[in-house]
Amino acid sequence: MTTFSQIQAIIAADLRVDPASIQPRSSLVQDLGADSLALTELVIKFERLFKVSIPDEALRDLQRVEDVVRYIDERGLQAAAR
Amino acid sequence: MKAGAGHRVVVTGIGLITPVGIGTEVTWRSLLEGRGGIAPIRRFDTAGLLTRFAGEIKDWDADAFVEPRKRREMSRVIELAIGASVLAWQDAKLGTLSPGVADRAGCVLGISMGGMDALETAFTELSVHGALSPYTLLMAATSLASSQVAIRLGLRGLNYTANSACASGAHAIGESARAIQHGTATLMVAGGSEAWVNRVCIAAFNAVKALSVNNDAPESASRPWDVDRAGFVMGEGAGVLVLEERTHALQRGATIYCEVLGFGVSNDAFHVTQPTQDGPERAMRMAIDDAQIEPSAVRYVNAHATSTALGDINEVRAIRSVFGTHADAVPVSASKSMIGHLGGAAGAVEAAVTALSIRDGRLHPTANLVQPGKGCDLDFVMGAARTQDVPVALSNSFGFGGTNTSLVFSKMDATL
Repeated sequence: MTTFSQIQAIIAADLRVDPASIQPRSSLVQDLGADSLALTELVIKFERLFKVSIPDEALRDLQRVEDVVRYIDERGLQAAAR
Repeated sequence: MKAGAGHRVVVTGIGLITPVGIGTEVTWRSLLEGRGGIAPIRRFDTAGLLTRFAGEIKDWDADAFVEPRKRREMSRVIELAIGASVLAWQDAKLGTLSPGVADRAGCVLGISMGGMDALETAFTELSVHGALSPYTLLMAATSLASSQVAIRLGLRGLNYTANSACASGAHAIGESARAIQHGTATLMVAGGSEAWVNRVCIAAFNAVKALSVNNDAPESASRPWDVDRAGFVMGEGAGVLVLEERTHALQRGATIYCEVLGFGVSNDAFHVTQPTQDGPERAMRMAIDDAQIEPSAVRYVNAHATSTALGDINEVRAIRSVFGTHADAVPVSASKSMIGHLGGAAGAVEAAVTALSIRDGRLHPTANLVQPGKGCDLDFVMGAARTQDVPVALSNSFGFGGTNTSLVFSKMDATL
């Protein structure tokens, strides 16, 4: 699984949206309807799956799904496919 | 309600979600037919628990009442509260309120144990991950139920959670009626919700030996006043009334179930689990006095009667003391015999049952009451429902900590 498809699955389950509506360019807040609580919840799920730390300062730059994918890929920590 | 001699309060909507049905009429029909909803627990593994049965809600579909993505921030007790509130709101034929009314519309819900199931999950999550979801707080905090209802129905006035253990739902209704009487509110969504059928709550109530452990015969384990009663049976659910200032209800052409005539409260100030006779007596006397009626005007009592050895006989004695010779002429029944004990929701569901008894002139039987125990000698409705005009009725709710409430309801403009 690619980082994108894993993130897509998490967002779809968490925000209860159709996976097909989640595209790299989708904005978490504007397009997918995440509020501040939902963003915090998503970050926790990304952190636990990908074993990365996403500090609050980093969160400001993670506006779109592709931003999250890049952030995680840059840290070179693909989720263990287990 | 004489104190302050303010506005009169009427019931214009009822919403019930109980172990015998989702909806008011389905629940009421089941109670009248003497059909109970106690069974082995299906929703989670009960291995190791002393009590492995309860009154669970069957076929509950929270998605019918709550937007799926919002369910992440809710525990079961909140979902049930929203469900019953929406049903009551629809029953009262209320839609979007005008801003002026919305500012004087509120919500008070009685909840005792609240989101214990969310805390159960949280402790595990914290020990594994060292951090919690932001939704933990919103699911576990008891006060969020009335807030979530306010968001959905646009109730911009008085809003809080009442917790007086198993009297919570009755407290919520009584204090909401007071708020209307005194002019704080014009319209109140008032009731209770409880989702305490979970491992932590069952183990905790088993520890104080309050629950029946008759796992071999769950359907007959809740048997108020019966010689074989041996502890209460947990049930889950929610009951909500729409209370309205009388003139407001009449002007909009609302269907009125009954009037809230009196409210009485007391505390035993004695012991946390052991009841006194004096506390319940004082609550009933205060409610009757508040209603400005004689005890002999009361024609039906929906008792607290949980099916415990001590509590049941104690209430019988208190009723005898308050009603004197009239006690033999007052039919009494126990809703808990069929739905179990709904904790913080019990008083609200039973207030609703009392309102329906007044509306229909029908008294539901006490299921499983076969042979009344020693000293349990009131006119219990048993075997089958009774048909009888009910101009005035009283509903009792008592709780751990020695907290007691009584509510008096009457037919609209009954000659008393």
